[in-house]
Amino acid sequence: MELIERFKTGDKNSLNQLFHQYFHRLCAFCHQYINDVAIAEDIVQDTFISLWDKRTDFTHPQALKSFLYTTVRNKCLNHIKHQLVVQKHESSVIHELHDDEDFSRRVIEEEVFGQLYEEIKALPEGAHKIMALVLKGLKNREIAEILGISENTVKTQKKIAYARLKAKLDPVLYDFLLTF
Amino acid sequence: MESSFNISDLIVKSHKGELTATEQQTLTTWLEKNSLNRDLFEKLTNNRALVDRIDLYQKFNAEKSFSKIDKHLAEKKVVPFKPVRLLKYAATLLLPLLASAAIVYYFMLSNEDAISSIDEQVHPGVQKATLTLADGGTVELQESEAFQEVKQGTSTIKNEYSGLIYASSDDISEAQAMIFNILTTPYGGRYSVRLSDGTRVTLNAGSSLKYPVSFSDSTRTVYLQGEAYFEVTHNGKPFIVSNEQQNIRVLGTSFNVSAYANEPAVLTTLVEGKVQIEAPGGKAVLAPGEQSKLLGNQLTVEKVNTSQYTSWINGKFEFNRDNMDIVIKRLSRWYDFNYEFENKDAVNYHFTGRLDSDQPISSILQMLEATSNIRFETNGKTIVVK
Repeated sequence: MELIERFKTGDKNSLNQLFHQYFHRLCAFCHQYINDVAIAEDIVQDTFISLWDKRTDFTHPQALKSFLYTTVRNKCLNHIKHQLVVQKHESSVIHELHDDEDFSRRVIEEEVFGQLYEEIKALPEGAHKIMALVLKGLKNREIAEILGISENTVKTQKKIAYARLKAKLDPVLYDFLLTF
Repeated sequence: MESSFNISDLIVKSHKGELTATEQQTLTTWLEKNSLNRDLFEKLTNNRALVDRIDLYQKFNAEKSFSKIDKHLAEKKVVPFKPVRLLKYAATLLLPLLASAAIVYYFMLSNEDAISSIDEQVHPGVQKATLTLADGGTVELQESEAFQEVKQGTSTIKNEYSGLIYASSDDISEAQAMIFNILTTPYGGRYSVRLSDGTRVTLNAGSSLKYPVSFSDSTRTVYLQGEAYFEVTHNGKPFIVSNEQQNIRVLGTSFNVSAYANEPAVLTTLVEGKVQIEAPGGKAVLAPGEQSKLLGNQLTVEKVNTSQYTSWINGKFEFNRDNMDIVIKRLSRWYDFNYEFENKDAVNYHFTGRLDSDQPISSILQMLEATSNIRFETNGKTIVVK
């Protein structure tokens, strides 16, 4: 059964799956407006609770995704409006939040970055750790030192990681990982 | 908003060089629209921006957030009603609804105190299991409780929210395939495991699964006692679920096996795909929606409502004209209680209905009392059927 079908039937595992797929990108999206990690997490949690309550309404994955981003956007707006009342000062974020074009670009940004992150997370644990360090621009020798493994192991793990990523990832991201 | 998702897909495709002429045109139009779009496109191909974003991701704690949601959802049980539907059916539904509510309420009042005292000793099951490693050492597992990664040969085992995970390994040597682990759930426990080939197995209470930490080249064989739901990854190699009575041979598919030692029959229920049952008394091939029943040496196949046999993985008990001894037996595995039938006739009473498996046992007993002629008495962790 498709994920969305299982989700509609009230399957908690599918909620778990959807949550882990979208949690980070939605938090990052929210964080762009509200520069606070804890509040971003709260807003995304609330959003998933609303999603669960409305689970029977979704027939298409894109509709579900739209709901997630739109709900986060509205909750950010409400949060900032509330803050304004409290702090009594003008915020440029309000204008950004009302700007549909801007909203659309931010969604695109999160979706492209989010996809890449998913792929890296899906790597086997050893390769995953190594890739995190590769992404930080560390050399094989430095990675070997940090993880307490041989430089050869780093090389082998990188090869495995690249092979897996190549199969899944779009080539530009793959190419860029190779440049490290 | 759909257009945003389309543009993100197009950006990904453009890097792959997979854009059709029309798609290229759509993307170009989007890029030419304004400089902000072009800036974004540039950012999305920038290493530094990606690294920064992943750093930001690391600040958010997914597990903690999910457990908050989970807790919240467990606390509120009210399912939102659709008013339109309610109005439409109100006339036909309301009267019987009120009548049955009155009956349930009446019995709840009458026997409430006597039964609810059992809730202090008998609880709904939770995610827990014991992992037995190749050297005989054991690890107690609880949902989402982190443990140090365990190494078995060259394989790595992790415990995550979704269950136990065996890293897919490139080492498919005979040596790895000879290292067996056993996952055992007690009464009152369930657990999921993702095997090294990606196959997911959810083990029901009072069950055990033995499997190699990595599968060798030819076949994938696991050994089951009790009940489990399998979602087998298709990879061209046959997957075999073996127990003392039968083998189930599959390629990639989802199915439920109930092979408890204290049940007379072994039931295999196919949800999707295709499986072959191989028993000493014969062979059978199942189509989706079919169930095989192995009773002694006799293998029979019939069409069933599969959800009745698989709903447990979604936290529901589903009964359809099941005898009370079957109902009580299934409940006892999940809630971990002892029981006896003082009223021998009650064994053959039927029960039909769906019950949430996270509610207190007393609510379930009251429901059973309200819908049949039986009474329960509780004595410590023992339930007596009167």
